[in-house]
Amino acid sequence: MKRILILLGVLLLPVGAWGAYQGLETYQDEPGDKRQGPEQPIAFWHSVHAGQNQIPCMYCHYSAERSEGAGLPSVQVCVGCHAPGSGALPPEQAQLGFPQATRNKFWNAEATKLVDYWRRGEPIPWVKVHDLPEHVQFPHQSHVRVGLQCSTCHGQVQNMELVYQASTLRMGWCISCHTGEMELSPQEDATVRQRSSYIQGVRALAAAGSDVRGVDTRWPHQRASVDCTVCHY
Amino acid sequence: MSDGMKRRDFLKTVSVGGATLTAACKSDGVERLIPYVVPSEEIVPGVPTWYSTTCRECPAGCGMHVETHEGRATKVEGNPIQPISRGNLCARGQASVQGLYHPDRLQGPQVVEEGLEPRNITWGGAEQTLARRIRELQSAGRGASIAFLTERYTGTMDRLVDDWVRAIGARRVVYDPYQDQPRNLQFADADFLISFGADFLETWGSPVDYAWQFAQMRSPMIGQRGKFVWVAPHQPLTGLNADEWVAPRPGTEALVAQAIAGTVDVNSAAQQTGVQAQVLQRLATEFRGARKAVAMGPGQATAGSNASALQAAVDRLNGRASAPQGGDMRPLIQLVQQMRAGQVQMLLISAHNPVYTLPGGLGFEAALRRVPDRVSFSTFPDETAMLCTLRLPDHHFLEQWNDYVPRPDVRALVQPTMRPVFNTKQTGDVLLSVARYLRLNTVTPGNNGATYYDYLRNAWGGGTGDAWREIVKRGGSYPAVPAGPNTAAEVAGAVPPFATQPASGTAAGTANVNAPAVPGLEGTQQVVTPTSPPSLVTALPVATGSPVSTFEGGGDARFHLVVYPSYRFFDGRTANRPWLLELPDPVTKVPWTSWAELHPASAKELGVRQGEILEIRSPFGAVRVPAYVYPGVRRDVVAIQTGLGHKAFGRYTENRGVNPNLLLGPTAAPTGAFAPYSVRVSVQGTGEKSGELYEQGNRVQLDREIAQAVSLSEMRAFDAVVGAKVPGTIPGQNMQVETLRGHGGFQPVETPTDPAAYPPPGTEYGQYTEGKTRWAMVIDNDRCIGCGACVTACYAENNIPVVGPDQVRKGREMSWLRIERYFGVTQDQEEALRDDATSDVRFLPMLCQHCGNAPCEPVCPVYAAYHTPDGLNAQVYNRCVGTRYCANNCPYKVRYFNWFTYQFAAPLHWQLNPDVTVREKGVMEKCTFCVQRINEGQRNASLEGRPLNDSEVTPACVQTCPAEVFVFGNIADPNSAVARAAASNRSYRILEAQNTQPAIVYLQKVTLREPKKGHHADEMYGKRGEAGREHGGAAGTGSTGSQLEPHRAPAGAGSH
Repeated sequence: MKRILILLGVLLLPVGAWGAYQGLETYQDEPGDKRQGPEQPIAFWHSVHAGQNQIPCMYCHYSAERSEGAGLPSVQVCVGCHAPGSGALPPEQAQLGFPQATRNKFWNAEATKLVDYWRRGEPIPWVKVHDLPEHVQFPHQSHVRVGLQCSTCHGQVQNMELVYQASTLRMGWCISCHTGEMELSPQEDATVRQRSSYIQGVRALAAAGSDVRGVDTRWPHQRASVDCTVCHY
Repeated sequence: MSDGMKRRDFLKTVSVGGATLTAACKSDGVERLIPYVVPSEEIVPGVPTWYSTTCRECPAGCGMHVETHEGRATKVEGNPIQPISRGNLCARGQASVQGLYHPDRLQGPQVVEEGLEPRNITWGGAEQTLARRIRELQSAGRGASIAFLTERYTGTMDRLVDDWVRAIGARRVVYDPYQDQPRNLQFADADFLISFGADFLETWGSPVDYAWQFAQMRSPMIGQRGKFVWVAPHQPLTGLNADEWVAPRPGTEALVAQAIAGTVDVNSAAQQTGVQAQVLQRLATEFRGARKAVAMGPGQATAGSNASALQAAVDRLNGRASAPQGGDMRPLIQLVQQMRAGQVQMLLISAHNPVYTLPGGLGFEAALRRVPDRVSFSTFPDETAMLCTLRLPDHHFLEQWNDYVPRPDVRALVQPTMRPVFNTKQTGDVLLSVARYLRLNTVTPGNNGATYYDYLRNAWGGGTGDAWREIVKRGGSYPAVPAGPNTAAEVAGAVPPFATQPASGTAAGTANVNAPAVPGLEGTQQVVTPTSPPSLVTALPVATGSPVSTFEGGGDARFHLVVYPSYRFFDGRTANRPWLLELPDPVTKVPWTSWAELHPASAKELGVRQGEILEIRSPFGAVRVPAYVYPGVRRDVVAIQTGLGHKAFGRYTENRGVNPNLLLGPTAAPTGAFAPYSVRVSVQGTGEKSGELYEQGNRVQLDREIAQAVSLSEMRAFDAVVGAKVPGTIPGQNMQVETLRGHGGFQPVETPTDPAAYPPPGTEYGQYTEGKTRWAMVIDNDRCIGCGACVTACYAENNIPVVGPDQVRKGREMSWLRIERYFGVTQDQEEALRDDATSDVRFLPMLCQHCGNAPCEPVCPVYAAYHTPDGLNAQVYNRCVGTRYCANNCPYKVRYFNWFTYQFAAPLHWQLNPDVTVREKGVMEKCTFCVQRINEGQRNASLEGRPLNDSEVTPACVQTCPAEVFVFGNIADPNSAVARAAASNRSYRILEAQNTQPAIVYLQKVTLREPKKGHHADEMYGKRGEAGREHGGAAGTGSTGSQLEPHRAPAGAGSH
């Protein structure tokens, strides 16, 4: 009986391992990784927009510095570049400026999809890539404000065709940056330390002669608060 | 398994297999991100957008700010610059978002044909149907048989309805039960206030404004303590807040007013009212001797057929004339008569549910069935809408453009805060469309395509962009908020001329008929001789003599019936909001159902107990309702709150409780005002116990000194010893709080036993970095009126689920903040039933005390309950595994467990606050001090590169409180408002002997008479005696000396 059960467990092991590999795959972050994110309703390549054409992140993700959400570009923003002039027009009159004979069939088909969404007045149902775990709040604006680069968390988006989740977005990963254990580039680290309200608060307390021993001992390079209610409420 | 397979091996094997299987499961649920097609200029996703509007849940007209997230209204707050709300709101206002998202709203126009299911139609079809029927009636020469029964519109809608009705040759009748009550009384600086049944803290006049004025009037915080006398046959919430209750013989309230005014002889008044002559004499002396004395009334509880006499006496006391209150019921009574006679072919109804609110004796429902075309504009499927043949649901007020004139100096604007949830249409637009179909040139000149919004803009004088934008931003035009109690009468700022007729009471085509016969109440001297034609009288089911004589069914009608409006449901129009149903009544603490208030002596005489079902019969109807035994009602009176007992009104409220209006007759005072206080009923016990009635909390304090009080004289004597008062601040000599503050809030008190070592050195419990923020709250029990607006605001802000009546009866309600109401202080439950129990009632907001030395924290096995560096007692939902040890160890019982994953029926879930986690089954939760608001304030301050000022953070309860009971802030800063308030000589902390070091400091209630004190008062109140002794022993003079022990008992000794 015992053997049978152990055998069963052993037989199940490769199945489980394969599943675990599938499950963990998304969370790997290795250089030169050729992973692709999920299929999107339109073959939107960040490598073309952010890489080749050098469009700043916040041109499309417009609320990252003032809201908890980074913001998704409206269909109008897409159309504004791809069918210039038609953003101001009613969708029926939108000119099909984008599909051009000089481009290949694939891209023209994708562009037609975009224009069709615009004409139908429908939002593009993008597939969510960066999925934060439940019961946690992440304010983009606070992190942008202290000078963190988008790529620190989102990876080299300008090199990705279909964007994938470059970081785990798990609590240990978040905390490792807050405690200062995660390495940042020297300039980024300096900016963050200069602007962090947590560090400013500790400095003010120390300047006022308060006892701040508890603050330093655990993580000498702490950058931000690690109190639970900062993210969980 | 006998061959060696052990339990442990089995578990090992299974766990390996299980783990691999679990790992193999990969979620394939794809989440989508939906962008805007065209972005809104006003919306940044994730950042709330605020709109100004005006609350229309009752006639008070409070200014409102509505928080919207991505185009959905989630929370309402008072508009701080509007003089009526002053930034505050009541529970009904807070719950208005639940009306907006109510799952049972009418979702579009419907036509109901005889014997068929209601059929959904288009708006064009509905309007054409209505226009066609009107034209048919007009061409048949029966245009006058069309009647429009409306609520008391003011402003633009009033004018439009009048124009419209005139153009089609119909007539208009106005019905709005509690509309005509004065909303511009100023008594914040009065030192004597007397109310004749006017429940101004609940529904009468302008409750939010009046609650604030009431708190100011009697606030030692600002150096004044006025007296409030309540004259009525029972004590609703307003009565419980009175310093003195005078209960004259039913029907004789006007005589008390006249005796005080000096127009009748005190001795004869005493004889007729049953009130002692010296009491009347004293009241008269106090009233005349006051610096500023104000009288109010009549309210619903005293609105008998003598209401006009009472009104006259009250006006005389106030030294001015005022408009008659209570509206004019005579046109409506005439209309009902004509409906019954088949003379009305079409009735359009935009009044609030008349089938429910009108007295049963009037027979409105039966009369309505005789009208062939019945058109409802109700937003909800209430009893009236369900009886109508054409349902044209109006927008909820948070979806519409409108204006409203609550009082002459305030012209309030209602603006839409989001797109309509359902396929509803504004009634004004429906009327304009129908006018276009009918080519009514006076209503729609040139048959243009103007919308109701254009019509409204026109009425506001058009106005160019910026001026109009400013009005919209302010939410109307009105004077500035008066600065303080002494400037309340001064009205600053110019009021722009009002284009339409404000508060028009005279409706087009309204026939001014004479009063029907009015049955007088026994002992009433002031009945004016009726002058009505006899035919009208005999046609109505009105008892012509004493109402007592005509009832049937045996027994004797010994009890006078009081039907009074509900703080939570008003006239019943908000009775379908789950938050308000789950909010226990402020007086009885009964949620979800109705009750009849019965005096303990009467209950004993009838042999009934609390919760036993009574059968109450009047000449007009009968109801079966559980008894609530309560000394705040006269022995010869039975009181039932209106609001519940709906036959239709959505899933939450149908067939719940009883409708006491069914017991009433169509009685009107000589002025035409509705007189609900004119029926006598028989009351009988049935021997059945109600499964519905559940009273939350305890009526007595069990000697725990939870809600403490101090007499005014004792407080003054003590203040004289330890420091004089400066208005606005209270100089602190309170040793305890001083010590507290000096240590950033929390130094554990040394206890003499071994656990004194707790908390052990180095642990964080109760010890904080000096100089850091320490969030704390001061709750002034003296200002608290017990209404529960804070409770509803907390539900709205924190996504607290409604658990429903069955779970509530198991004590599983989730209200993070509750109002405790105590009639007694000792362990003797009988104390709460004695006649003097309601003379010293204590209200106490109870929420998580955010203890520095919190008992919940060390018992949590997973560290879900822990302390933040800024002093919050936090609960991490992800960690919580639901052991409930914390709740069991909490001495304040403020932790709540999710027994189920409670549902928010669609679209109620649109109201959920996106900044707060929605909890699920198995998780413990409790007050967080609105940590999401603290974090938001912190983020905003950081974005601007400055430290957070504690005044930027306002928890939802603090924000909405009409009486401004709460002070919130950083107690570590000695200059903060909360530290200054905590330094009051009245401050104490609940169950301090437990060494929990709460962050909430309560201020004792101040009573005019000597307050009741429990058996542990000596220990609990000891600090006052101690401080007094140190300052020369002069404290506690007079009758209070015996309460003060010269030494303080050691903490923890002797209690419990």
